[in-house]
Amino acid sequence: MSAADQESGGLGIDPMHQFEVTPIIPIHFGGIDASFTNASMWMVFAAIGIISLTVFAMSGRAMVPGRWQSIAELSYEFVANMVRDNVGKAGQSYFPFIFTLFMFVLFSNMLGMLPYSFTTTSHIIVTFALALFIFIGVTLIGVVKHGFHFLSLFVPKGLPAVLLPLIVVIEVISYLSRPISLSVRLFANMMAGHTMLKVFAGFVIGFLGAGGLFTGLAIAPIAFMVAFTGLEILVAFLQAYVFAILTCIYLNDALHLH
Amino acid sequence: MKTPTERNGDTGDVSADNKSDLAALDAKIRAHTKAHRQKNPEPAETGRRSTAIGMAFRLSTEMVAGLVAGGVIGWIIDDLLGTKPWGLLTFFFLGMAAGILNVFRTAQKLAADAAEQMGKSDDLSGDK
Repeated sequence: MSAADQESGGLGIDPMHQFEVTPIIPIHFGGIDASFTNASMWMVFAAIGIISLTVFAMSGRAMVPGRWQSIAELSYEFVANMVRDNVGKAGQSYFPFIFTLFMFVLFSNMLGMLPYSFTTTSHIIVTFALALFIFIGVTLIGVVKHGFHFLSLFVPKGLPAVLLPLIVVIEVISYLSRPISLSVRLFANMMAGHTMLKVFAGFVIGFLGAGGLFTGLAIAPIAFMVAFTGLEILVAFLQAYVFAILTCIYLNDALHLH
Repeated sequence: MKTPTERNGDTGDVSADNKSDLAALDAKIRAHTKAHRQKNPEPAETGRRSTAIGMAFRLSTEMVAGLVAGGVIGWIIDDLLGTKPWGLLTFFFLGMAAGILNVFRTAQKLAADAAEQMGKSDDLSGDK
């Protein structure tokens, strides 16, 4: 919750204010605004967090791991199992990418749960950039591995020749819709959750501002917010998991074609 | 457990002794894990247990994604070929079909996952 909102009290609360991107270090390249914004800053924080976890927590290399090393090992095993289950042996060489992706989304989501922070994944441009990168990468992998045969992905087995033109167009649209559904799911989940928290925080301030009998009623939205924060942490993890597992599934399609 | 103090005491020992120490510890942990598993079987993995709202959300994004992809393609075709509004109209409906196809496939996958989960928990209770 931003300080400005708490000061404005009751009526002037804008639940969308938390998503505002503000430049910290303005940089302009010939008419292109490439400023270092709060969004960039929190992405850097996510990267620093991941590097600290994987490099410094593992620096001990203890046989019996401590807390931090346990977290690092757990996340490694979690993603490694995910890749093995969904892509198989061929997917092992793509593990570094999936791991980076999962950790980046997870850290962005989790950092967004901190008060006063900024959730980078609540912006569709961030998630869409990630999804588009995955989409193009996976398509290239498929084309390189299978060449012209990759197009058989768009032709279901046992399709009558009459229906071929129609079904192929539908399959192509369905394929092209993958980056959209991938990015929209993550972005909408994060944004909806954070907006909801903010709206209920506004109720609390509203009740307290009304005074008298209403002051006691403020306990209801507070209780809801506490419960909802727990759910949001689950969602933050779940969405990172879904993002990574869908990438695995797309990769599997490209590598094995049905 | 008293292993840390023991280990501190005999740091000068050969690695063979250390190894057998570890093997003993490993066996101990294994036995404990087995006993624990038998007492309370492993709960379902949190990641797979999607909530009803999550499922609904996933399906609706699939549908919308198909529509948007179809609409955008139609728009681009109209722009390139000057066939306004026929490209958008045609591809909007094709996008709808693609969206339904997406939803159908996702639902199939969710159902398969759920069935697998059921099978797993059945197995666990079965061998107990």
